[in-house]
Amino acid sequence: MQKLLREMVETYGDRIYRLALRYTGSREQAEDIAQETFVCAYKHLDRFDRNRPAGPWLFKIATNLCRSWNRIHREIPVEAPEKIQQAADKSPEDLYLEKESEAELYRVLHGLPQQYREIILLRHAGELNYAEIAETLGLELSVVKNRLYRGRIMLREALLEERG
Amino acid sequence: MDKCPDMITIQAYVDGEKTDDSIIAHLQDCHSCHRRLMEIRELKETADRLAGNEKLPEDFMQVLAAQTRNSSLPAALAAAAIFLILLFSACYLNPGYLQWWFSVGITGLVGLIIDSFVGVLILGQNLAPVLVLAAVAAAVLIELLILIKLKTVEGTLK
Repeated sequence: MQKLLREMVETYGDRIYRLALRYTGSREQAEDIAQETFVCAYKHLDRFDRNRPAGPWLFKIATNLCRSWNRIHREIPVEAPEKIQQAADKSPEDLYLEKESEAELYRVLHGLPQQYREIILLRHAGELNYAEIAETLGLELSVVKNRLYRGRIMLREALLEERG
Repeated sequence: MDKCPDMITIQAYVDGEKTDDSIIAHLQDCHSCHRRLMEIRELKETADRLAGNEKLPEDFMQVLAAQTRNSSLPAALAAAAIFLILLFSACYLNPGYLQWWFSVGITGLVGLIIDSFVGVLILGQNLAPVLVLAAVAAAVLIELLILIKLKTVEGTLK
């Protein structure tokens, strides 16, 4: 069982961490959510069909944990996480602009309705394909495609609006 | 392909999802579709800023392994409880058994018995917890029934 868990972490760990990081904006919280995802998966391995890929199942657990986190912390605005390593070749002005741009992206993302935000995050941070997103969220494939399209448009429009 | 594909189909192509060859050819030739293709690529690039390359901390797996390590405490408690049930029931049915249990305790066999119980129960927890615990409970009941039967037979003989 530990071997299977290790394989799951190696394959999906970073992607689940990035999903949680985009959701929470905090490295500590994202790590906690990733830990909780795999602990929960470990406890319920008997419910997992080993003939199927683990991705959608793990992302479903992670998404539910992120939703719970969101419900508890809905009053707190999500901010972009601090970069651990700053690029050495960038000027302070560039770094400032980059940080501002990142903060703007997070603000806009968290202003989107949850149904669009989730699909965008599963696609771009979780790197899931359409079928995996549909399985994760229990949606029809056509709904995933439509929401992804509309979500991306909303994201771009909101960014343009933010910039005035 | 004569008809221009819709935006959702073009998006699927941009996202690398399975796309019909005729649609790909059409996207290359049709000026209007090519413009829409560029538009969708731009939308995707905006959202791609969310991708990132952050990685889990290096000690993540160790922390996780510590959290998921099997705790032997429930198994040990269950084993100790079963041991005590057997001990008291045996003594209740025939005080003469106390001597045997006492010798077991003196010789340290009690530790071996509990360790064996714990081993079986941990194995059970990992493989089929309900099945193994039910088997242990059944074994305890059977032993109690045998002891009661023996006591009844002993009483009749007297």
